[in-house]
Amino acid sequence: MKKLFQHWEYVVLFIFCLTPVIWFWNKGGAIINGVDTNFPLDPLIWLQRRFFVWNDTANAGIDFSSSTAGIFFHLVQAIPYSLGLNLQQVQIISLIFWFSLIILSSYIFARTIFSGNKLACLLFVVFYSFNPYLFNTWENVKVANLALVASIPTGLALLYLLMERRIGKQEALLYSAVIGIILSGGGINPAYFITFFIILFIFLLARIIIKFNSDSIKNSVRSFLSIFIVIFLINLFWIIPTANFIINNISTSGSIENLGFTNWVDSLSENTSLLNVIRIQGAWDWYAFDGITGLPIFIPYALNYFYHPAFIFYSFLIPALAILAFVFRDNQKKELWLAFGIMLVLGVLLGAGTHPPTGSLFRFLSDHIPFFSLFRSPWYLFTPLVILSVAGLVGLLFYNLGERIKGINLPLLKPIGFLIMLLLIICNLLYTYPLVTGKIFRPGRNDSFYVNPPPYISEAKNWLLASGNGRVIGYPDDELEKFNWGYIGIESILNLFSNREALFSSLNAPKASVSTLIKEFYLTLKKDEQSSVASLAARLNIKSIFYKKDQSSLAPGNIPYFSKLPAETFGEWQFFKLPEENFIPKITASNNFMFGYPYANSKSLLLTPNDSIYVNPEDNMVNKITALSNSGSIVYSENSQKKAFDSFRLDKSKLVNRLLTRDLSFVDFVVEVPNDSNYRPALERYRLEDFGLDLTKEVEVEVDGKKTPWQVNHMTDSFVYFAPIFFTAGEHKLTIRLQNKNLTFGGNFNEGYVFKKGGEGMGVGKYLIEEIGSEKYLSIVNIGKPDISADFPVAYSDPMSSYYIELKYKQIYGNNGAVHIAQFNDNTLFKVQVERLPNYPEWQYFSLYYEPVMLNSTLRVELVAPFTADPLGTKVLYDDLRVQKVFINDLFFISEGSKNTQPLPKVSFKKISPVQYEGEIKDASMPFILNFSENYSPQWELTLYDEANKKIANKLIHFSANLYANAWYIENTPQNYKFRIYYLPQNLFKIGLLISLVTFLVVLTLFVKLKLKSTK
Amino acid sequence: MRDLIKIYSERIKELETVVGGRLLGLFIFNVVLMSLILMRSAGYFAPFFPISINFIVLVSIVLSVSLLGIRSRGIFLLSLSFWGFAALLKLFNINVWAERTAIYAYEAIVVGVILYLFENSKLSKSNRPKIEDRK
Repeated sequence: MKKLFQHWEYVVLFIFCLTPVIWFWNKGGAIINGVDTNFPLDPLIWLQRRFFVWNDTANAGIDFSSSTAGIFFHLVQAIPYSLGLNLQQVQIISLIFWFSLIILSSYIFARTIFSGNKLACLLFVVFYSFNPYLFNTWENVKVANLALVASIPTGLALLYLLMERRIGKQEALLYSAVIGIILSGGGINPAYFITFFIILFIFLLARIIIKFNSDSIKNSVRSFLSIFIVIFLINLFWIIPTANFIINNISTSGSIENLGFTNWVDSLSENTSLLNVIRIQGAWDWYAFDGITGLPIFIPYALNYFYHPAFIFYSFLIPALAILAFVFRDNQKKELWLAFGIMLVLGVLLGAGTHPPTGSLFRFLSDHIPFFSLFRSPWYLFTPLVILSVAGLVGLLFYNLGERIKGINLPLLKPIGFLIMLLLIICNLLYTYPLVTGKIFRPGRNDSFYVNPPPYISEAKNWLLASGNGRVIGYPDDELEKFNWGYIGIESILNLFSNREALFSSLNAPKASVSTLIKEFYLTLKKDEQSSVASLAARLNIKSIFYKKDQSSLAPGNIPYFSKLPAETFGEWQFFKLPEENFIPKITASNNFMFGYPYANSKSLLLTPNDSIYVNPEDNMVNKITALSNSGSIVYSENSQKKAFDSFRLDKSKLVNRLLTRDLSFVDFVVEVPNDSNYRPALERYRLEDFGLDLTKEVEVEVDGKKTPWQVNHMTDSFVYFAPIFFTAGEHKLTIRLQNKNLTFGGNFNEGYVFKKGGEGMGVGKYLIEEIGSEKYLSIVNIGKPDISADFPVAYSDPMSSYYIELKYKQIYGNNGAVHIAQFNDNTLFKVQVERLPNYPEWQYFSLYYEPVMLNSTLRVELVAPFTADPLGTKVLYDDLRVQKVFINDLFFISEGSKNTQPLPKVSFKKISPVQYEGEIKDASMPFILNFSENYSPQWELTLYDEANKKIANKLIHFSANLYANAWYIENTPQNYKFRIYYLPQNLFKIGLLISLVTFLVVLTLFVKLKLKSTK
Repeated sequence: MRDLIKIYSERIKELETVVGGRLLGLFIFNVVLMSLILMRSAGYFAPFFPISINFIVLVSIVLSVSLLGIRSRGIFLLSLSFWGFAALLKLFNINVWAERTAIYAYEAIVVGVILYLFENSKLSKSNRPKIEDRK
């Protein structure tokens, strides 16, 4: 007990370490999970996945090099899990482990610097371990941040001790290795790893400047290098493959935009003013407010920090104490003052990112320093410099003051000093109450991180394990999976507990080829185009559809196809099995090519026969294949209505797109065919009858101005195939006449007042149908009422199509007229498109397009006379309202080529790991193509072996096929042989891991040797 | 009271000595500052290089080092006063001014750290061992 009182600081530290226990207080069996948190529901699977540099479980595979850095982090979870503890216990242990590491690491540093002053040590620990920067780190349990924050103080302490020659080299090497292991998690975002060395380098620089003599410089540099080399070598297992990935995939120079994160840095830097960064309040999510309620969207406690005087005062007090430290400094440990000063200056400068007034410097650096774009989250990356320097300076201030008052003989001075420090510690814990109490996890809110996984997850897990191979695609197709039991994820939930390969709507890479195919799959599913669903499922290697009834979504739930499929049900989850006969294995052989003109069109893949592969005619590798002269081709034609619609949809809002009238009674297709040949037209089938096309008869088409009847050859639920027609190479124009009905009634006002009067509140609303000659139009006068309107229902039954709205208007006076397109059902308003009409006092056409939310609903067009404060009000005239469907069906031309009818070799294979597949090929009498339905990477290697396992020297042509997958053209081989498909960067991981293990063993041996020597 | 007057007259003498030693520097400092403010009010160099208050504050901090001989401690005190003022403005919800004042505080910290570096660096002239010491 006496010892406990003597070392009371350890008791305090122990209590600090147990902070995560408070987070789970009164939370039942909940775990913290969701969005970026990604706590695995099977930690062993996650640990195992991190031993491979390719992750095949997400959207046909991605490079996973940097994620191998998470081995240690997930090992901490996997150990208690394998001992049989439940998920909540595993998470608590993992969180306590990392919290304790930060507390202990900061205490080790504080003890090294402020030895003898326990309160100064505790002050450092509290300021370093409890601050608003760590709110976000803990909220998402960010591996890289935690690893960095836990490593910095120990790393610095080690460097300091080594420079001061207070620690032996062998010991230092072992400690460096341990720090290297802790820091390894930083490799998930290598910029965090670099930040660690930036901090150590600043300290080295300060030391050199302050103690500028050759002996000191040599010793300092040697100390720095020995720590750097050991940590670097220990981390080589992820550094080598990640470096390989960065070099091959990320541009060395240029701005952040090259990474595809448009305005990423700017949006993160929006609130990183110097004032906010110095007060450690620069996280972007603090400043996201709901426009209507004015309340924070993500961070409810942010209000206290913005408006509560006590919180504002304290946020200024901490940096003030840090500045004050420079005023009351002494002449001891000058390198620490200088290092902390430089860290503060640099941390604030770089942490502010592109925010003015210092932002131009950050932009300059990102444009001119190679790979600087890795630092794309400046506030998150550089604020550790600020928290370290502020905690260090405050610690130094009180340590110094403590030393000064030692000589002063005033009895009350010491207790007062003690009380002030104690008060500061308590105030800091109160100031960071969201972190202490677990409010950072937003308990009680809809977006809370506390979730209780339902029991059917484990049932589904067992079924997935037993149900073999083949991908599973999730439905509904929202990019965010938001379950009604609390979990929100950006990837498939299946990845949390299963190694089954899953497909889902990608939030991170929506433009990737496989993502466009997945989008197409969902669209065909919603349109109930079952032949296209089957075709895409085969190409994407899909075996079942995972229907999540517990997911909150606007996607239609009544998919007709589901009722035809056999299902396995686990609580709210259903797995619909697609017909086995359509399934194509991941590795197959084919001997026919189809060229795509243009290649990047996912619908062309739907038209590619299953025995052919779809390739890019402009691919240099494909062009090396000599046997391609008779390949078929699929040529896309440009649809004039779709082009106009896309131009309206994708271009920035501008009037030139709107102040015109369009004729939707015909559609033009422009096609450029590559060769003279017979081409079979294939027109998208979806609701052609709505446009008056009778498919039981001939369809009249104008081809290059000449009327030609097209005979329907056959049709599926997705395409109508016509009899082949001959085209010469070059451009051709085709026109199809449509009967495109007006879907509203009474918009020309000849039928009288058939519209509904919209708008509420006091004031006067006058609706009058006036006429000039035979022409009638509507006049709406609004005096003092909120927006009033003439509302027209749309005879609309198809939310999968797009609509065209056109009207004439004339602005007489008052506020500008407007058109609202509202989509709703009995309970919910789904979407309103508001178009403001330019103030124009003559009759003027105005047109727009509307793309509905894909839900059964009602559509209404409102012609508005808006409110104005002017007592004369608003007067707008309207006429000739028309609503029509846009003909967006695509037309393709297919040239079959001369098909290779030779029998295909038999392919059998086995998946050894996510990076390695082995198999056999039998009866390969002719050259053929081996398809591998995993995302294309030039680093996938195919090696052939003869039956005696001897490597067959063969130059294989590797190219991309089916828009996303890999394919090899194989010729000049024996009839039967073996093959291996391997992801080459895995070798880099193996080499790195070997070096890392050897390094650790060497430093451990040196340490043990030293210890044995000293005990002798 | 008498003690206070005594202390005041002593301090005034000290101040006079300091000012006497820096008279030219003080004169230039004031002239530059006045000129900058006058030029700003007249819109000189705009729009190519508008003289902002931020620029004037930064120039005055830098000049106070070279012309008035302020040491790093003084600069940090200046930064602290800016920071305190920023806090006051923030507490009164005058956010734009608080942001600006925080920029001045940061600029003073930067100058203070640079100055501290030179004051304590063995590379700097003042810290090199004197010739007689070397002997």
